[in-house]
Amino acid sequence: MSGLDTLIARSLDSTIRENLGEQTYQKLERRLFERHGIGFTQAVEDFRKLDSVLREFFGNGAEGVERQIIDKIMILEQSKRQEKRWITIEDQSLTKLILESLGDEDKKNILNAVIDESRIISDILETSRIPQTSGYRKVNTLIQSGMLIPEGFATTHDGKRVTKYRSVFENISIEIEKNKVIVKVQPTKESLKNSHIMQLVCL
Amino acid sequence: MFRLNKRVKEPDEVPQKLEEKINYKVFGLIFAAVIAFQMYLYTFKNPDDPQLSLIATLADFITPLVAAIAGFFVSKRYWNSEVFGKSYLALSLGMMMNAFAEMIYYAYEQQGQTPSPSIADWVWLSFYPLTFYHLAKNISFFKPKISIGVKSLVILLPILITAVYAFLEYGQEQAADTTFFLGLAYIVGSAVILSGAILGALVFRQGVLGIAWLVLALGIVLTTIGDNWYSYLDVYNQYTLNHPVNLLWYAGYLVIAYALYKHKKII
Repeated sequence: MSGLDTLIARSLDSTIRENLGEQTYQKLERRLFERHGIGFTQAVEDFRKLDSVLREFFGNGAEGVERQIIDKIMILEQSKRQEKRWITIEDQSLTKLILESLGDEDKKNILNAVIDESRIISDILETSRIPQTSGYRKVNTLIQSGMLIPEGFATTHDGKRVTKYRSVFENISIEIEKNKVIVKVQPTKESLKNSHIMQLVCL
Repeated sequence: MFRLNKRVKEPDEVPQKLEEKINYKVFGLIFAAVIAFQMYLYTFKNPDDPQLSLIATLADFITPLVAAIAGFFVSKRYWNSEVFGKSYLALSLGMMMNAFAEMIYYAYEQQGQTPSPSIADWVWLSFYPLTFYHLAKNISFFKPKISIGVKSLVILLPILITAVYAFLEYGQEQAADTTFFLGLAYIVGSAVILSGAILGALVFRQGVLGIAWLVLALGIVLTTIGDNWYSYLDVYNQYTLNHPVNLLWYAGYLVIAYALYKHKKII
């Protein structure tokens, strides 16, 4: 699953409940379980399955539901170059997650180390000069939250294939307007292309 | 020796595709009921019979009330949701207004006052913005982007209906007075919601909810035809309490109530 999808999935659950109501949520969840054997949380992460169930109920209206849900979470700025689009994060929990990641000096260094090129974890820790124990823990947190995404493999001297990671965003901009913190992100071309949600809804 | 008496229940098969069908028996029942009622109204020889007026008013009051109650149940089901909760509340309020308007109209008639134009017309007219809110709220949520072709159709249809009415009405009355504009307001309102209902049915047509919207559109089509027909009858002073145009309103509201039941059953 794309890192961008993991990030979005964190907020989708509550947004669907708010817009479509608890009863509708339960009905969708029941159908998801019947058809795909998965719960709502997993379906949110596998957006194509959620999309198929939404389409079963709402027909073409599913498109609108998805767009509205995404709009509550983020606003995709219009740009001629699709891969260079900025996304304004609307969802507060997502904003908090990004700010917390950047507020932590080690996590910020980890993200900086992989902003231009993908690296294996040991390389990342070496470049960002972080101790191994706490470094692995922080890298794992970033992977789980979707801020780091796997991109290719490297072969170690003993012949093992090790996953390389890269930052999901190319650029992050933080603006403060009155009392509101506005976080804008520019996803990498790959993360935008690999995101099922962005493919279905925004592109 | 232990014997298994109970038959082992076959596991339910999960349908690959959700299906929801229109129960045509319900339609048959609705149409049979309203036709039977209309036949009963025909038994009154004098169209000005006070008993006929009371019975017709009761039917005019009960049918939108049934639809309004169905709407309240749907709205209650989605009470906390942004789209369904508010939009179905608006729709049921609109139908409630129609029921109230019938009673106000009847009260004016009983007091020997002119029932139209009166406050009853304003209450009747409030049905249109409330129903429009219902349609717009759903359509804007589920289909924020509509193609130019569909947009043109949705705009042209009410313009065409209104233009034909205005032409005929003005041709008959030769005066643009309060009655003319009041009749026009009904036509504009019903034509706009007719357009919206068709658009709604188009948006949901490939999903199971499309069935509920198709039935809703059918109910609105029936009431709209009723409104238009009534307006033309009014222009030529041909409306009576037992005129068959009433069939369309009764059937329309009952079909809307069935659509609301369908919606509640589907999602």
